[in-house]
Amino acid sequence: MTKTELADRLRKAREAVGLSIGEAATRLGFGNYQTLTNIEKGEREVKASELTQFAKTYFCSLNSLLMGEDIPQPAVHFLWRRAPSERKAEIEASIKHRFEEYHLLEKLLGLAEEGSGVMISILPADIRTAYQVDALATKVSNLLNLGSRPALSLQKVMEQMLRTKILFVKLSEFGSAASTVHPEFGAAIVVNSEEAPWRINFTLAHELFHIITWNTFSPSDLEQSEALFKDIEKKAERFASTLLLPESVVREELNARINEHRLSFSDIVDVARDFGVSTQALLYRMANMHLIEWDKANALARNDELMMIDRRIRRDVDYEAPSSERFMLLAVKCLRKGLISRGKFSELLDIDRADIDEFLEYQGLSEVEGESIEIMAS
Amino acid sequence: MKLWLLDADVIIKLLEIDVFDRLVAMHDLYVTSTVVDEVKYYRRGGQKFQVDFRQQYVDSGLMTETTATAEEMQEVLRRLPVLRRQGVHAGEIESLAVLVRQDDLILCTFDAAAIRALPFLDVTERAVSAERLMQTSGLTLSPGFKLDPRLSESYFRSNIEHGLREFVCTQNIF
Repeated sequence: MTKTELADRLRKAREAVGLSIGEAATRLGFGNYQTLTNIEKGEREVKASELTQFAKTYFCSLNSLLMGEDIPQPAVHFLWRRAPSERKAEIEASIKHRFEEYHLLEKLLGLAEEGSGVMISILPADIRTAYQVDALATKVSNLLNLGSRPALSLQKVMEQMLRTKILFVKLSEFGSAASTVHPEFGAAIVVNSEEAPWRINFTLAHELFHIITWNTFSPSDLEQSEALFKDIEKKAERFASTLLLPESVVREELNARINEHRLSFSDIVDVARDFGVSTQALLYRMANMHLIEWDKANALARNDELMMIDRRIRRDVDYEAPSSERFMLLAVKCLRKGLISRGKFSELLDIDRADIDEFLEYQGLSEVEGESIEIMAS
Repeated sequence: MKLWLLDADVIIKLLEIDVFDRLVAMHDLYVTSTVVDEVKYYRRGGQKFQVDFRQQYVDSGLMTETTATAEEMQEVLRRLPVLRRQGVHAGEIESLAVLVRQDDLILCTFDAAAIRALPFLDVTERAVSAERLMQTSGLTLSPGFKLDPRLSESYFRSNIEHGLREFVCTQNIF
């Protein structure tokens, strides 16, 4: 590798994330942009510690910078609820890199070839009406054995059974989520980690609809036609609502609380909490189940008293930051099997080197494989 | 006199079990630039302590900072199997690159992935466990500290054997 080859890779990596020389130099901690210009011209040696910083800033692996042999992958097409208005290339590069790292863990463990996705072929005509979307949600719920409280198991089922890669990232300015189905790393969803747990459940169900219908409506068609995008978003909302709030069990729970055709605000919040959804989501579900009028649902969704009760009842909910359990378990498994180093592990999970042991202990996990036992032939 | 190259986890662990400063006083210790940047904290007695490693140990002349070139790091990656390349962090790659370049150094690590990479670089005999380093130095643990099994010679040896098996398989010797 010549200095020019490395310089060329560094320049391309910077351009891929849409950073100017000045912006990149600042993020890399260079005193002035001239240092980076000289590096990109191959006129200045790059130190090992600087290479680490380059890989971090440009969301790529050290391997790709040094070896330049990353297999060219098809571009990732993210379907955003609301696309980032600024720094889109950089944000998408960062998310793509994290999904690539996730996929690397699967490859190291020999899991990359395992099946993924719901094997349902859907035509646009299959989900033309709201009732058809409801039927699809019921079918998916049955296929995945989601039971009467789907929100309680949805993330786990999507990660373990569908092999959907779910990552939680602070997305505050960029809407709540994005999804993609990539030929190399499969179905992947990025969710705003700052959302409340019940909103995250709804987001996952919403994005599941996009994943299932990924081949039904091409993402570029959705981006080009606002009307089509709005229609599909509406359908995704309907799908999420029906999936997380199965009609018969919701009716059962509500009927048990209805007294002389009336339901208290506290009962509404209790039922929503029981199903792991927001109070608003339950209200709209009640409207599409014809239990209340849509206008009433809209008014209640903005009712101060109801929202105050909602906040009071949910105050005790544990707001532990959401995380991808599967990603963490794969990383631990790779560490335990000596497939990734401790430095890589701390980088993947964004924890300090000194905290690795405590992290593993807190999660009830171990770095050591332990003795193996003989299993009788069955 | 042996010259020791320490990786980040070993340094953190030895700080944790309170033998690091005694080791520093006894030997010529080397550390790579990436590792210097990685050692920021250590834990002892349930508390987390911050350490300005560069100032305390490098700038003060107690340890020698060394660095690898991009070409040397590339050479390490080139000799590793494709997937293993991506599983090893920059800090470990730089330490391995320095070890390959400077044959008077002995690496001390307990990182399984780094130990398993040694046979691919033909430097298996120039690396040791933390237990061995401590024994060589005549160091014993302070009262109340127990040796972490990962620092043991047996953990190190089992990973070396694993790496050797993997190396043999990739060379298609059989």
